[in-house]
Amino acid sequence: MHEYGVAMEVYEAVMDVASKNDATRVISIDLELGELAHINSEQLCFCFEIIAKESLAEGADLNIISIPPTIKCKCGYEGVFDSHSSSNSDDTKQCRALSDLALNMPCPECENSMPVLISGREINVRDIKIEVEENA
Amino acid sequence: MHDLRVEVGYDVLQANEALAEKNRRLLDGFGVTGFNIMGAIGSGKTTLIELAVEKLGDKYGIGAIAGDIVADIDADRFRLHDIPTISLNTGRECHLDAHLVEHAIEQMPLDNMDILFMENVGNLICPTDYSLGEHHRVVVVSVSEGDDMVKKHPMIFKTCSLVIVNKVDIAEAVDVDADKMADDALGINPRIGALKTSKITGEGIDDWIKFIEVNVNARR
Repeated sequence: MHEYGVAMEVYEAVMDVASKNDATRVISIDLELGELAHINSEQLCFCFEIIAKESLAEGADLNIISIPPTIKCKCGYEGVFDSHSSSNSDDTKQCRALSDLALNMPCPECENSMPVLISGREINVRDIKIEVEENA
Repeated sequence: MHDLRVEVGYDVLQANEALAEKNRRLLDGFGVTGFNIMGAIGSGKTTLIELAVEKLGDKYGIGAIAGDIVADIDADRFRLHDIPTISLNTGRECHLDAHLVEHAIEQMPLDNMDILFMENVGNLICPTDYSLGEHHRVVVVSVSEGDDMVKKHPMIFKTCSLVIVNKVDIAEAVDVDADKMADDALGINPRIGALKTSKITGEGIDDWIKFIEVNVNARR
């Protein structure tokens, strides 16, 4: 829903680092996107493409690296919440599993405590690949 | 020409979180308690804030930030109560963020304030991910939204300390079980407080006021 605003922030972070490193062009961007972030990756890429027009980042590949939720329980259990468990990679089932997590999913280990989410909501511009002059 | 990989390490939500923490510390410095009031369009956020201002205005210094696509309408309602008000027209944005709030707080007479109400944009999704620098997060749902509303938007209820099920006086007319809405919120977040309110009958309004007072006094 707020993909445009997020794309704008991604663009600014990319351009900041690109210009500090005297880039002549941004080739690609690796962005970590938590599966529980309220962001649609296709819309994000579309918005970014529009924003980056006529800039160093025009045409850059925005690679989305999907980050599954990691949960941690008081009992000591820590692990990736498998949103594809007991199903294939069918989208509907995945969404169902994720909303189960957002509701109340007991710890898979001790089954009586509610684990906390330690990752899976990030929108992180991890790194960029840029083109620089040979003597730079 | 050659290619180079450069680390960026910029997390959009963490950047907001850092700014929110800065806002929170600023409010702390002036002894102001911040409430982020969220909820769907028309759930009754503005009215609940107005009721709080009416009941607590003589006792506490209160300020308000009204956030909306066109925020002036709500802001004008707050100004009628003669409290310092900043209207944040978000234009195209569907939520307030810490950056917008930072600029609003700068214009507030924090010296004379105890309470800051931040009314978020009507939306149960986008405000979930963004802290503003508040001390308490409150989500308002009205019975007219349907009693499956809570289960359909679980994340926001996980992040709040109070849920208000509002307009309970019309629950029967819209064939909705208000208790189910409160129970669903408790199912998602056992630590959440739940109130049922109605401006028309006055039900629960005293509890809403008490929630504010207890939390403001606890930080004094």
